[in-house]
Amino acid sequence: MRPRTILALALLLVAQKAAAEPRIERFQVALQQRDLLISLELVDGISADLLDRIQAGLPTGILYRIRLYRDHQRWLDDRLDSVDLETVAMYNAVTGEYLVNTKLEGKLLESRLVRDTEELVAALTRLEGIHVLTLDEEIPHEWRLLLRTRAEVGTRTVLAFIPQRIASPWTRSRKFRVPAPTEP
Amino acid sequence: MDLRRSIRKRRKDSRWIVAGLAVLLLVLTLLYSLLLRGRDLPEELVDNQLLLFVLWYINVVLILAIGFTLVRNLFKLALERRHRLLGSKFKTKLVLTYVGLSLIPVILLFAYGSRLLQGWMDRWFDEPAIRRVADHGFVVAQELHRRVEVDLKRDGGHVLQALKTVDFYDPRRGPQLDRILQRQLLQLDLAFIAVYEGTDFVHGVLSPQAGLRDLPDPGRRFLAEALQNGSAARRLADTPDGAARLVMAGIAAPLADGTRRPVVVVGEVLDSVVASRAAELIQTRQRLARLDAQRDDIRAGFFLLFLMVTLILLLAVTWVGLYLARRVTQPIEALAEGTRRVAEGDLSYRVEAPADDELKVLVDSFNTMTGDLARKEAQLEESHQELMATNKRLGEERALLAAVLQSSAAGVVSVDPEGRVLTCNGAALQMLRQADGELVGRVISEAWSDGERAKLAELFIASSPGGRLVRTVRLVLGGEWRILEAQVTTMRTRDGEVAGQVMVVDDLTDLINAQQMAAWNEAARRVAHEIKNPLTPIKLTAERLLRKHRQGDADLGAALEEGVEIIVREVETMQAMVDEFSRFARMPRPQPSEVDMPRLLRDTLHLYEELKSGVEVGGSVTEEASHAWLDGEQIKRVLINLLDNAVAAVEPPGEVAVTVDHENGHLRIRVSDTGAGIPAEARAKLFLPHFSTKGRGTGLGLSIVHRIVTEHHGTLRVEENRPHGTVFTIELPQG
Repeated sequence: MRPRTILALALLLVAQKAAAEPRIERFQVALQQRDLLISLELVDGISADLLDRIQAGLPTGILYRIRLYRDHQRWLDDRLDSVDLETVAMYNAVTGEYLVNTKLEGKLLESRLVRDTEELVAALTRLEGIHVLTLDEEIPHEWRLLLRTRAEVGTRTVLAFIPQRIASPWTRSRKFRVPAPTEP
Repeated sequence: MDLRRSIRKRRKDSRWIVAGLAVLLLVLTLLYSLLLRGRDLPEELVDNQLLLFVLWYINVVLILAIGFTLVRNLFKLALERRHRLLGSKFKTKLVLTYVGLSLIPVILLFAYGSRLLQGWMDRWFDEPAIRRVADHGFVVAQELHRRVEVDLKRDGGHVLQALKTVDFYDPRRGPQLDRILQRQLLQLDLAFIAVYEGTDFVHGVLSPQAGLRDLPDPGRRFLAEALQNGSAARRLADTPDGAARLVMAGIAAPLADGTRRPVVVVGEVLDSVVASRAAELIQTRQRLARLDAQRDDIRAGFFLLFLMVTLILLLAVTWVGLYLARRVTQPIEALAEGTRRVAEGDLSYRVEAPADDELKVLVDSFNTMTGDLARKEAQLEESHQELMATNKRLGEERALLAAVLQSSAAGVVSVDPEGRVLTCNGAALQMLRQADGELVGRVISEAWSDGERAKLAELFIASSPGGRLVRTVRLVLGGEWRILEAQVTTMRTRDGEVAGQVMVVDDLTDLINAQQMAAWNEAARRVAHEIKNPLTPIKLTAERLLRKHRQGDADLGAALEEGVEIIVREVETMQAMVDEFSRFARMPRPQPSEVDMPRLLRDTLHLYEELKSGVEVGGSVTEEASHAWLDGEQIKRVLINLLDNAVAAVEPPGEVAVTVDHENGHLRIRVSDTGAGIPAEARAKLFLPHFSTKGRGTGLGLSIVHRIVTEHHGTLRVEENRPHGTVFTIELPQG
């Protein structure tokens, strides 16, 4: 293979990588008793291709992978629990409405209709105060916990046939502890 | 057999691997299908995704299989080449040729097919006419809905305007409100009109022509949207074909403090055909957009399909190349192993190679050859053993022969066809006054190059091939005269080829000396006897004369005369005998000249014509023997002596024959008679002087014959004639 061809392939790969990658911002965790509620915003998650795909009537979703870890300062974190949250959009071109479903582990949490793309993007990429996990009773309050999440927005093919997942990097939440039990 | 078992086992293993991969594909496909279906994706999308997944899986497996097969076999080939295994170069060339030859067309096909597909997809997806029609249709359909929505919003505004006079706080507003709405329904040709206060339903009217059974519920979200934005519009796809027949718009009254905000919702039912066509246009355009959005997936799918076919071809070609190479090289390797084993001496080794073509013929030929070699070797070993035994026996015989030869009194010298001395026993060396090293291995003419021994060496040349030559040779060796009888015989192999010559030499010197001494004794006795015979009458006559003289006998004169006559006669007899001896002693050396043998024989035989009644004397000369280089007079004397004896020996009726012929460069004269023959004990002394079987004569005849023949360098022998009689054979050098 000629050096010029190799260089072209390398540039192609770099260009694919350099295209606006999705990322998660404002990842926040709220603790209500032992219920974990998350809020986040996926930036650059809905590309023009993805939007075209939605508007073409293809059910298109974003899968948020959420992992609960026990934090160690000088050791690898322990994974305690995991959950998948998915937002799926389907467009009805006749009525001009987008149906956005939010599912947690395959169970429908919310379903709503939106009529324009701004609402659609917001519905797919903005999660506000969604209860995703309930901490186990056995988790002591001394443990430092944290959540990691990333969003998977689909796949693309490299060199025409190698599938590659399009996903945001893993984003860590602030560390938190389970509230200490109150005296009776 | 082990090889075949191994191949069968490997094939079985391969089948297990393929079955395992197929099962894995099924399981993974099922899991992926469940995952996709769990995401509530449409069936069409699930199928596409599954197809892509299956193709991707097969391609990955094929790539891994080809990679593994190629890397493994190339590694094996590299190892085989490094270890210089037989057939590795051939296998490498075959595989590379197969892969190389197939790679180019396969890659070209793949590239061309991919490019063709790409072009086809681009042309299809980017076809401007199709896209334009779809886009225009979509715009028209959307515009239709938009216009209906705009019209409905305007109509809603009219209705809201007409409701200004209505006091919504008046509990009796119902009839008034109904009248206004009924009038507006008719004026604006609407399907229904409904009035809400906020999100609470107040009143509604429904056109009987609309075909609606009840007032449609716009929903709280719709009303909220209208309140929030001032207006809202909806298309309700309530028909099975997805066509939006019912279009409604909601208009909210402007916000006013202290008053309830009425919301008017008006609706219109589109013509079913128009609604269906519009929906169809929209869905068609959406399907196009869906295909466009899936273009990469479809392209990847086709690409994977092409890639799969390409990889299968490559895998097949590589496998076929390796299989064929193995089919060819395995028998060759087996043959090489067989050759090595056979070269090491294992002739029982048999090549077993899985081949059923020309290579099988080669393998069978090799096995046949090995079998033949084994049999030949066994025969050779047997022959070797026999040869060893024969050699041993021959060695013993040779040793015995050598011992016999060494202990033999006769000298034995053998030469090869080139005249090189092979063997020579001690007796020969002693006779010839030579040392062992002077003779063996040398050419006989060189070893016996001196004037005396050369007489012996000439006999090897003079001896005719296949013949037998006997000569008596006189030599001066070590200052002494030696008389040797040499007999040269040709040696032949079993096949009749000349293997050389052997000469047996007998030293006759002492024997001849003894014979001569005996002969001289006999001669002296005979001479004394012959002399004594006449002396007795002389003595008696002399004594008688003396007595008569003393007695004075009267007839003394007559007696004297008679007595002197007797004495003179006896003295003459004695004189004749002395003359005979004198002539024998004075016999001259032969004076050779060219002799006309027929004439010589004719002249000689003429003397014997009718000499003895009843005895036939005849002779013949062959053409080859008609001329000879001899002393004619001496040879004539020889013939006369032999013929005298022969004629005397034959009793009538009988015959005497003289034949002269030529054999092996020699003139052969045979004088045969049909007489009584010579006793064997007399033959030994036949040629001695004064030996006679007749009881008369001097006994010098055969001695003279022998002497003349010897001085002509010839031989004389006497043999018994058949059925009776005697044959004298004289052989003389003709030149």
